[in-house]
Amino acid sequence: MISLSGIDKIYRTKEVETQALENVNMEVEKGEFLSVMGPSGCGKSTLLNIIGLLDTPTHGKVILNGTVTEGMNDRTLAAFRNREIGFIFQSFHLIQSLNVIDNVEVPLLYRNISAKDRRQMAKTVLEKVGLSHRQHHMPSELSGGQCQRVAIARAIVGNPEIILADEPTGNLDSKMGAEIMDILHHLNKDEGRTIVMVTHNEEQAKQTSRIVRFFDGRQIQ
Amino acid sequence: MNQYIKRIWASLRQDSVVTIINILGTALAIFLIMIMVLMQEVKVLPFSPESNRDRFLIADAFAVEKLDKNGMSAGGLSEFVAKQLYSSLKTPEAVTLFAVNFGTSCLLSADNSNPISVDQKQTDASFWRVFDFDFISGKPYDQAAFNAKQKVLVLSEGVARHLFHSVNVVGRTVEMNYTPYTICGVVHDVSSLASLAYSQIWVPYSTTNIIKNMGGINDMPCNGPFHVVALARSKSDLPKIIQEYKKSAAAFNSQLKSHGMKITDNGRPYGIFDCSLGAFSNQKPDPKIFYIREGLIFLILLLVPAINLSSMTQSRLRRYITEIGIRRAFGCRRSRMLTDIVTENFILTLAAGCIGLLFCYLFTYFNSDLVFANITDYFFNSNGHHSVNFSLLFSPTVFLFALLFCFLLNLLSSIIPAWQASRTNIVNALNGRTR
Amino acid sequence: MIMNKKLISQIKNEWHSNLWLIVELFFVSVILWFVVDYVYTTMNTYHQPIGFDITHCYNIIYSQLDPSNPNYDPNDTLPENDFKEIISRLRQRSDIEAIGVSSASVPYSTSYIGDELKYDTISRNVRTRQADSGFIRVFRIKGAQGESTEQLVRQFDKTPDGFIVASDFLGPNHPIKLESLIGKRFYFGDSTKVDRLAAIVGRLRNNDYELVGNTSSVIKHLENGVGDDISIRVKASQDNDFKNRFWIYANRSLRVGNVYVSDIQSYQDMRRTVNHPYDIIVRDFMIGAAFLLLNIFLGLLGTFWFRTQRRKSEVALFKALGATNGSVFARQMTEGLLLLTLATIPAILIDLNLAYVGLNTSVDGVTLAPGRFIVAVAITYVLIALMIFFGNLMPARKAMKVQPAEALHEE
Repeated sequence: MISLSGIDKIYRTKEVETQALENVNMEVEKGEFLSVMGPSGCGKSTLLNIIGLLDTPTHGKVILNGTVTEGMNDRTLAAFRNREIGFIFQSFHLIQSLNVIDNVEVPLLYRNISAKDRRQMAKTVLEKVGLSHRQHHMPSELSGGQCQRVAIARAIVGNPEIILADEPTGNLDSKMGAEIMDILHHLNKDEGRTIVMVTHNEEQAKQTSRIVRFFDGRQIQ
Repeated sequence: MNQYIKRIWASLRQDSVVTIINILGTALAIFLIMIMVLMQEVKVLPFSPESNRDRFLIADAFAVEKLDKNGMSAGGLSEFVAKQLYSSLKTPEAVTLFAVNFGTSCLLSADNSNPISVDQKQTDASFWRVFDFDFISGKPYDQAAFNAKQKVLVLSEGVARHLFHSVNVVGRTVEMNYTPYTICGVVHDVSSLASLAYSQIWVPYSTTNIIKNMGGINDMPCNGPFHVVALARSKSDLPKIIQEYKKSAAAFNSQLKSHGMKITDNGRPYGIFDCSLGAFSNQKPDPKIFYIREGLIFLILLLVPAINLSSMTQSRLRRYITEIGIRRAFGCRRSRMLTDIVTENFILTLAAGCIGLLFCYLFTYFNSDLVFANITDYFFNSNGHHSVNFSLLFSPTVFLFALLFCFLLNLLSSIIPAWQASRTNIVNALNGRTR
Repeated sequence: MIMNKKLISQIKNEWHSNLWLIVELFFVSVILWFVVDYVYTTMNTYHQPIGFDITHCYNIIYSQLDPSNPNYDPNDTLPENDFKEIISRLRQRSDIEAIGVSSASVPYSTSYIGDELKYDTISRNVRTRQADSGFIRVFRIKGAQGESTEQLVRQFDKTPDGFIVASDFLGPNHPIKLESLIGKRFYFGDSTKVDRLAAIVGRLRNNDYELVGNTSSVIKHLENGVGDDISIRVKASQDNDFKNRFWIYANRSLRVGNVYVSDIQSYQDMRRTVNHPYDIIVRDFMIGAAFLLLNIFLGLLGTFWFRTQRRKSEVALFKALGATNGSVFARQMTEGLLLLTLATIPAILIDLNLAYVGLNTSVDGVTLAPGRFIVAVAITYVLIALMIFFGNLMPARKAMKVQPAEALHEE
């Protein structure tokens, strides 16, 4: 499903050159639930950004679902992000000026779908995460766990094959974190989606199908 | 659409000061631009009694020169020249000859009361066919009355009320320059912005001692106090009339040749647009210079606020760079993001533009003598009659101009910040960094 | 000072948004200079004397009845005598100090007669005014060599074949001094009649905006006492509600034969009317300047407001370290003025170019004069600096309200 070969990511400023990732080679099978672990600053988030096509590697190839993403123009990249990938961020990144259901609809705005269909799809997916009673609330009125659930709803509303989660429970307490993990497992096992999750939490990682570890930009396990 | 409104609303709440300054700056720019547009449009847009402006051909001056280039005469037309050039024309619906009294006043009194000073126009009978006056009572003088030199005149409502406290004054007598005239009609006050038709009293020029043929050279009475306006039946007739005129002028020219002169051709008679450029009697109007000058002024009026707004837009965009990152992460293309930002800004610009346009209307309506001073102050006594009527302010042309300038202003001011914002690296955007 | 060094590096860091400001300041600087230059030179011209003193002066307009008028007297074949009778009646009024009869002579009018004036090899186009000596009295015209009005009148009356010329006839750099030509013989156009130069007066202008052209003015004696214009000077103490009182008098007593007085205008009104189109242009330019300045004001207000928000923590830090509110304001002002100066330098170069090429206002052919250029640039700079000052007031007040602890906590 996801194939990384020879990925390097180097950040260059005027004075200093930082290598965030070094020669990463990785394969993720369809339907896998992969955890990426490692200390802070070892490049985990950078890895996820590259897989999610939010950033481009300095060297190397990213192949998603059989398609080589190198040299794709902005239009194709955007289409990929829209259809194949759903991103969940640690700090939720909900749009504060929109209510819950408008937030969930965001990915659908960039497809040719009527407003009615959009609404319907958003409602369906909100039910799945158990938040249909909060459709018209603003993000500022929700708890952390509820915000993350909205973010998950947004990530899956377009039915992507791949879900990328960057420390999804990092800002939540253990109870809310467990609820989130439940939803993620359901998406993986019952709906067959491929998930790559960056996490600090050993417990959660152990429950996923595979763990890879990073240190200083290199994969060590 | 929803999304834009929500974002603008959020902008207003979060960055109220900057957004309000944005709106003020835009409104100010549109206000000034539209005043300039009105100043030009008032000279060409139709309104009563010049509702047929787009079918007019106007000759407000005439010039001849000696064949040896050693002398020339220029000014208004004499009756002699006007008849030579225009009486043979068949295509126009009507042709009128009238004289304007610039700088001298006419005395009017009723029943030997103290005379008042009024603006006067001396016209022929066709005047009333070319211009569409609104008669409250009575009717205009016709060709028969003109030929018979009947001492009749038409009065404007304001003058009638001033002298008689009534508008039912047809048949009564007034003294014009101590000569008794009978009132044959009363019309609604005419705005001095209709400078061709404007006056406060209108008399047949056959009844006054106006000098119909004044100077010229070599004893040819070419110049006088008259203007000529020809009314075409339809706009498509205008070139035909000009062709006819040219033949007429050529015939007259051969007559002049034997007197050692020729007509100085400055392209007259003019359509209403060329006339609005205001060339002197011995010059040709130059639309190119007009467009360049106006274009330069509009450019400045648009560019300076656009630079202002651009930097403010950039600042505002920084506010929600995170949101831009989110949308892009979920599949929004750069080009779509660009158009979204520009469109959202356009709504803001349009709203501000409406405010600017509103102020423009209010200001023009209540201060028309200030705005149109270059037209209205040729008439000494027009005090108060510079009224702008609504058909002028609300004409579709004016609206279209307002829309165009809003669009241009928006484009100029938001394109660069929008382009920059849409190209920001997604990860940086999500982290609130704008590089 | 630590603040200054940091200021410069901060400007460099924020060069992105500063760039906008500099570009805007540059554009406005150039355009504003053009406008200031125009207004300055035009106002200069406006405030120069026109050579006529029009206080308490009025223009009396007369007409003739036409034959179709019932009051027309067909036996009146000499309207010139009627005219002279009207003049003599006017002379009897105690509130009129002087009466002048003239043709194509009065200021603030549009009538003009041009001619060629020749002396020896010198030939110039002049504007010929025809007037009696009363005209000189009415407008209190003075001699160019310090002669009072009365002395001028005597000089003019003494020479029945004489004429008066204005001092700009020969131009400032001409080798011959105009004074040396007094009494000499001149010729007008193709005429063989000899005219002698009787006196020289200061430049006569037709309106307050008129520049020196190559048409100087000449005053010749009025022939046979009849002219197109009657001008009067009313005694200062009697000049209240004069028009109305005169009107009543004119209706009664100023109709002789077929000639009658038809209107009276004050020269102040005529001045307003004739100056009006030029006034409008100046007004429009000033509106343009106000618009530009307002834009700068709004732009600076917006940008600095935004910056104050983002720099809250930094301002708080400064305050915690002991900086006063005043120094916070001073810092922002300095930043603004620094940007202005950066923008003004290339602007001045452009201005110089424009003036050199002659694209700005021409005053008697001169577009670039050191004094005028420096004044215009200085005024432009000061005006924009004022906008920077006012644009900074609100954001600075906002910055001053920042409580150090609060702002640092947000961080």
